[in-house]
Amino acid sequence: MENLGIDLKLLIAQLINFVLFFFIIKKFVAKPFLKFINDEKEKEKEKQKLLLSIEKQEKAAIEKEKAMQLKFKKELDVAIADAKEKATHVKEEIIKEAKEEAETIKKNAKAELMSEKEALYTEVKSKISELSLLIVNKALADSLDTEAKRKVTAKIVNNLPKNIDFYEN
Amino acid sequence: MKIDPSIKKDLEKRLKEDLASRKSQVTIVSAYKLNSTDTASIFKKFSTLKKSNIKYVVDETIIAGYIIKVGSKVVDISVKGQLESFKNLII
Repeated sequence: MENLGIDLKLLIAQLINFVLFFFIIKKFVAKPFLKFINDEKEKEKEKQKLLLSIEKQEKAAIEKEKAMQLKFKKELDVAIADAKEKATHVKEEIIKEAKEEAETIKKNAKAELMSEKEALYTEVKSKISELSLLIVNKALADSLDTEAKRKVTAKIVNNLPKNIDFYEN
Repeated sequence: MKIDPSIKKDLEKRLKEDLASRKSQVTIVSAYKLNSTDTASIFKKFSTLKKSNIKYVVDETIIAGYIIKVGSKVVDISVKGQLESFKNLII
């Protein structure tokens, strides 16, 4: 061996050295490094899981939002339809009330007009009577002398009934 | 304020006299001055009228006939009164 240039002692020492190196590396470097890699892999898997979960949640949230929007739209449509119906009802009520009010006003105006007409008619009648009376009074006063008045008076007195009532002034 | 009873009595007496006088006061309103024939015809028709305490008033606006007032009572048989009644009837 020595002829081949191999030093057995050195070889053994190197082997021991290598084995020691191997054990030291395996125990203090390779193991923590592998652990670190495995941990990282686990973390990556967790991340992926979390990402998937988030994506699922996001999708679910979008779906929920869509459903809610749809529901809201439906509710809005129902509310609008209801409001429209109520508005139509209110409009009809207002028109009905306005018509009734107009009818009442018309009726009252007609009654007032009739009343005014009646009052005017009475006034005209009264004026005509007063005027006629005035004319007759004037004509009689102008045309009758004392003798004629005496004759008229005598005629009135003669035509009086037997019992004449005095009335309170 | 207290009123003297004698004054009060006198006042009451005067008021009663005045009231009685007013009640018996007769006023005959005519369109012309009445003569004895006219007054006779009036007293004939209204026999209850007392011939005393009569006041004669001439009012040409009544045209003809009479208005006789006894106290607060009245009988209107004038032409003016008749026309007024007719007017009230037609209105």
